Amino acid sequence: MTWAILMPFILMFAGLLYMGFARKIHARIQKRYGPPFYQNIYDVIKLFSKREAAFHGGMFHFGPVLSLTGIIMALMFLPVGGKPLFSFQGDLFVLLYLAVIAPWGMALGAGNAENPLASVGIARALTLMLGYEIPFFIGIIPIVVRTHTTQIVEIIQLQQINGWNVILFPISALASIIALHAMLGNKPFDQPIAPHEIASGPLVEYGGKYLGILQLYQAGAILLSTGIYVDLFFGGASNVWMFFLKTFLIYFVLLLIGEVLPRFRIGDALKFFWKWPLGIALLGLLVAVLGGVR
Amino acid sequence: MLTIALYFAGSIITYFTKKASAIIAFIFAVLANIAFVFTKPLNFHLANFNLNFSLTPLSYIFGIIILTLASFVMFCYPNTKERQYYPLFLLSLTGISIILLSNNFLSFFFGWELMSVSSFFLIYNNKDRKAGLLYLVASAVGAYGILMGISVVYAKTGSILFSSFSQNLNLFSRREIVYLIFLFGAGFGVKAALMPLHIWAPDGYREARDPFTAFFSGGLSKLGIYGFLLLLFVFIGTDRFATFHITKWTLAWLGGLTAFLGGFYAIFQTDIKRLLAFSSISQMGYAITALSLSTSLGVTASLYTVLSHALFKGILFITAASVILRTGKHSFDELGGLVKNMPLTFIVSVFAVIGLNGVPPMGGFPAKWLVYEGLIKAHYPGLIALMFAASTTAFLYSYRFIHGVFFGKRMPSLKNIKEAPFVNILSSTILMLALLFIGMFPGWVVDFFSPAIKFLGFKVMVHTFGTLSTPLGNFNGFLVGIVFIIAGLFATIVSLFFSRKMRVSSIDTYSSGEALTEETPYHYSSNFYLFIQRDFSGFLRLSARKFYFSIARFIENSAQGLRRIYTGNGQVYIWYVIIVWIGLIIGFLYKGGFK
Repeated sequence: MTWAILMPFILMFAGLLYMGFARKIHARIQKRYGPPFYQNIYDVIKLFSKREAAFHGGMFHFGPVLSLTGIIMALMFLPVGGKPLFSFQGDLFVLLYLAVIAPWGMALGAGNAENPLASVGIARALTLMLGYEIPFFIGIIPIVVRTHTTQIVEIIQLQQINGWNVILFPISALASIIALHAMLGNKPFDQPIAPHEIASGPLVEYGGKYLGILQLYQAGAILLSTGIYVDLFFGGASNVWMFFLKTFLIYFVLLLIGEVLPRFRIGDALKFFWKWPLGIALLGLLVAVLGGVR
Repeated sequence: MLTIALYFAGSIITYFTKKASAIIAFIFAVLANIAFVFTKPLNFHLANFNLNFSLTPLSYIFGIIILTLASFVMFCYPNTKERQYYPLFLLSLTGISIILLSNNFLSFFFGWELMSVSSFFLIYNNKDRKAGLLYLVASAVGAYGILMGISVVYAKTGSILFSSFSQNLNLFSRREIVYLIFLFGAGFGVKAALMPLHIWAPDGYREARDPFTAFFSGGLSKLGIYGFLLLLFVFIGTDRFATFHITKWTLAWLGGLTAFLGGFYAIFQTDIKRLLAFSSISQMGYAITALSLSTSLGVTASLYTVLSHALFKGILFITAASVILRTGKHSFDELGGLVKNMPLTFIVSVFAVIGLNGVPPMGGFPAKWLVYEGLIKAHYPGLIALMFAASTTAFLYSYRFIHGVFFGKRMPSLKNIKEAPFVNILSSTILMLALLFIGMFPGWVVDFFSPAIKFLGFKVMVHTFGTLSTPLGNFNGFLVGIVFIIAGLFATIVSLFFSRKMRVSSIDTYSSGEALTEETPYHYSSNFYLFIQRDFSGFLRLSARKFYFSIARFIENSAQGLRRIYTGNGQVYIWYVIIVWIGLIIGFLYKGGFK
């Protein structure tokens, strides 16, 4: 219980550090020195201590609140390094749907910003979601069908006996990791917040504490999506440090891939997802079904 | 029986009352609703037919869901001043209560037709006659399917009772049963708007009187699901139907395609009610897929979908009715920014949309969760992918709904719009609380369903008041709800401290240096998902409606060809007669003539 309450905040804190590392790596690739890796923590503290924050109406306020609520809830239901937290009370599908509350909150808040750029950003984010959610989900069906459970903790335990799912279902894991890449908002798929086109999209009108809350949400979302992937494909983790190591490695590798790729046009991104990752995921499902997984 | 009488009496009385008909109709609806729960079985003979009425556990569940929703919708402010609105509404309820209470095919069919015809008059208007006529034609096709099914059953068993059909099932061969499923399924599929039979739904829902549409989508279309449950699990029987693998498989995939394509088409709609109509088609696809699994989980999922869909689609159509009432506009292109004018309506519809998306803690989630678990349990790995894709489209179209109506910069012309009528807000708030309740206490909902599930011949799933458990996993709705409330309170408190709110006007936004005024159109609402539309334009051009209309055109053209022969000209007919005579004579001579 204590861990369930504390863990979301630890994970959000870790997410801020991950984002700091990302900024550092981004800078080093561009031959800049870059800010220190703890810069994002300073940023959040700065944003919360701003004197004023622009306010566009009730939902503009409650959008970020809903985001923070959603991310805290979702992290409470994610098994983290040997600690199941609440995950026996809600299985994989519950977690996947809880993970939607936070982006939904941001979408509602951004919609109330009375700025079309925010709306364009959300429209793009939802379009991208239509692209990546389907391959991600099809990628994890073989696991669920094979282990015949949707409890994440049981999936982790079975992986410790039978070997990691990434080895058992390499094709599905590939499809899901491409989807994960988009979930993290990494480079070829950063259309929703494309700074040069739509001025950071949904975040365009946000400032002060609201931006601080949304930063916390983004930090949590990094750990949430990589955490789900690690739990499902990389055998979970026996302790918290191992969990952080694995999630960071995945985050780091995807970051390096993303940094050298240019942005897709949004329609092309959707087509890409419905062509390659979806095809790979369906192939993975077919192979799994033909391989006797029922 | 009292229910039917009350509805019928109400419908006659409200035709003659003028101003008070809203109140009278509501009172009659509530009374009939209460009377429905205490219905006593009844038997009477009419022209050699034994007509019996009684309440089964299944019709009890459906009656409570549908008729209660009807009362709530009846309570709402009508957009139309036509005097036949309440009478026809009550008449369609009469039909529905006959369907639900009847235990024989004759009155079942009578109720079905009464419901179809009275709802037709609520759709038909002079603005778009085609929509209403399409509904009538589709209903007629469905009704003929049912009628033929009934006559096949009557020819075999010699009785119109439900019970005699299910008892004499051995008389029917396997092929005949599939044929019967096809015939009855056409009728029920039309009502539930199953995909190849859905063509009436988008325009029909759009043209229906408001707020009757809320009941049309939330309540009336559920009778298709009721019919399917009755046919597959009561008439044919759970054990027998489980052996029809191909039929099951076809129905499940039809439902899945309906769910996905309905959702996909809904993304691109520009009309409020058309968008919600496609969404309804999609949700009914879930219910049909779930029930066609013919497992305990599947049937529970189907009933849960029916309940949650009735609640949130009721709210959303009531919202649409309020918006249309106040602004007179249907299209997202002309709306936007109404959150300032209608804050209460907005809050209610946000919760409904969360339910529609199937996000906890609202009631849509347990339904979707049960569908997924049921599909995995029944070994449909391909179909579950399709269902998940369908549920992803829900995020897109529901955001379009909320954004198009409530968000963005408000047009100057919409400045003086008032909040929705109080009655609309009240009834949709109550429905919203019910939606939250069924999301937080899924166990109690399953308790409520359990007589019907047992009646259909399934085991009730493991549950406590807040938890649902399947062999695969469990969902603690109560914990999720409590965590949501606590985390939400925490986040709210966090958000209230720290920096001060600085209210800025709608023209004080980032616009790349453009000087905005109140009149500047600075709003992104039309062509919302243009980038998807562009890439799938070829696919979107396909539609079942066009297919049917091309068949109709083909028949019409071939009839035109036939008309060349039947010209209506007397001389031509004389020529025909002469030609036939000559032909006969030649044939006669060829055969050998007189011997």
